[in-house]
Amino acid sequence: MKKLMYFALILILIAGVTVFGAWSPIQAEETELRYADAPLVSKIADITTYFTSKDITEEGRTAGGAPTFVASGLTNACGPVAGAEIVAFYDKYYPNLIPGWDSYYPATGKYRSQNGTYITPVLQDLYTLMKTNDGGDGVTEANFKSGLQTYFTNHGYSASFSSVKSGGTLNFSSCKTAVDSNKVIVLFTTPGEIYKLYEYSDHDFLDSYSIAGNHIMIAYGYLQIKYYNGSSLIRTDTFLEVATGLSTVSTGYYLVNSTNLEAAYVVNVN
Amino acid sequence: MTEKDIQKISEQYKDEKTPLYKKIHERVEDMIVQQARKRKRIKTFYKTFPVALAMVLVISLAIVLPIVLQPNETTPGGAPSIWYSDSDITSQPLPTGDTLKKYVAENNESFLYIDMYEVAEDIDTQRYYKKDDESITVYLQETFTHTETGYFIRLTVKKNNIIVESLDNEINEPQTLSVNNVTVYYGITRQDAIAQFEYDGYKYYLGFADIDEYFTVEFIAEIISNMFGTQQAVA
Repeated sequence: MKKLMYFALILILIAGVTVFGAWSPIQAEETELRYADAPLVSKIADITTYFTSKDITEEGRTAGGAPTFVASGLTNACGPVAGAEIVAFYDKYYPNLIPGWDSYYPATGKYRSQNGTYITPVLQDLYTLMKTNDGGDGVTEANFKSGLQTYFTNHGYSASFSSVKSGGTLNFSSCKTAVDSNKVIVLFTTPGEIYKLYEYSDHDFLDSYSIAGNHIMIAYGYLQIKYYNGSSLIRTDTFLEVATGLSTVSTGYYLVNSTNLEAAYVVNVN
Repeated sequence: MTEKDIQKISEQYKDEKTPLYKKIHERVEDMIVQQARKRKRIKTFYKTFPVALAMVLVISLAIVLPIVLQPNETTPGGAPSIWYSDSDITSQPLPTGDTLKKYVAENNESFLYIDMYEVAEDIDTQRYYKKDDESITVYLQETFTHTETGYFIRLTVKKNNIIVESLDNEINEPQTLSVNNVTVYYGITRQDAIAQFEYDGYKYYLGFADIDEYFTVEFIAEIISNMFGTQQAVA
């Protein structure tokens, strides 16, 4: 009788652990995703494409590119960093978004590097407005967007977001239209890769870098390359050009058919 | 109960014929045999343990000693390599207005730097040092925007026996050029370019960002030629 009781108790325990184990991931899934700093793991894999000819079929970039900033003493701050890059980008067209500082060089139109005196306060302001590390590491998509919108409102402008992700995939055509209109796109990603592209006479080399966590970065350009062996098309690579917000690899290319894209929005300011 | 006691009992009852006494006698004899076996096991253990211990010691030394006594990697100059991960290092800017040029002069250093300050904006110069010992400089880095082209240029310089995790990555399929009879390894992408070379005990890393279709290897050569000019100025 005693043995039977113990056996029954063990069965109940196993059943309880199984049910709890199945329930926990469901609960976790229902919690909103958070985006924080993600370590960049270098060179996880390379892709080499040999060709007899290649065509650059699509290419574009916003005027002067985009600012490239890093977290500068803040933790889990990819949201504020991407937000500061967006603010500095639009400061060229909407003055005094960063009071007392021009975000670009008038002679060339290119963006200035990160400045401690002017950009650090913007980062800290966005860190607070986006509720960074409040309720978890990093920011949620909702708090990123509301925090950035509040920053623009506080400086006399308004910002809105237009989704360029439809049916689970990135709408490349909409991305092109945005970049050609001198607008940046904000990308919300789960762990995935960005690439550095090296081009040679008979082959191209994609150096792959893994971003190991959920991350926010901005896109400011696009590129499509078609590779041929004789007259046969062997490969097509379509990228967005991104500012990563990471110090080790500050810019790179993001494949538009990547499966780790949670959301993507054009940032509109007026 | 000692062995003597057991033997006494055995002797006392060995001639008894009743079943009970026979049983006791058999039990006692079993106990004697087991005691003897136990003594034998203990004797064997004390014989073999030292031998086993000696064997383990010899094998461990054979594995550990070659590793411990292995000579440190040395650079061609003979100094042992010092390795730093990014978490070992932190940075602080040089005093406001100080550049690598001023640092070299004030500290009697001999490394090369880019002397283009008249066409540079937003100059930032950082000293990277060991976190737990501020006096140990790991490397120096100067960044600026070249006003004529808008290119962002980063120069990092360290002694060539120092290895830094994030700096010492190989350039993929590097191309080479020669400046002042020194081989420079470089790579150019659509977005940026990097170049590396070693000279006179130091390793130099150049990074170029915000480049455009007009950026060429000749610009890299021009920058490095300028750097060799600073050495002649010091001499």
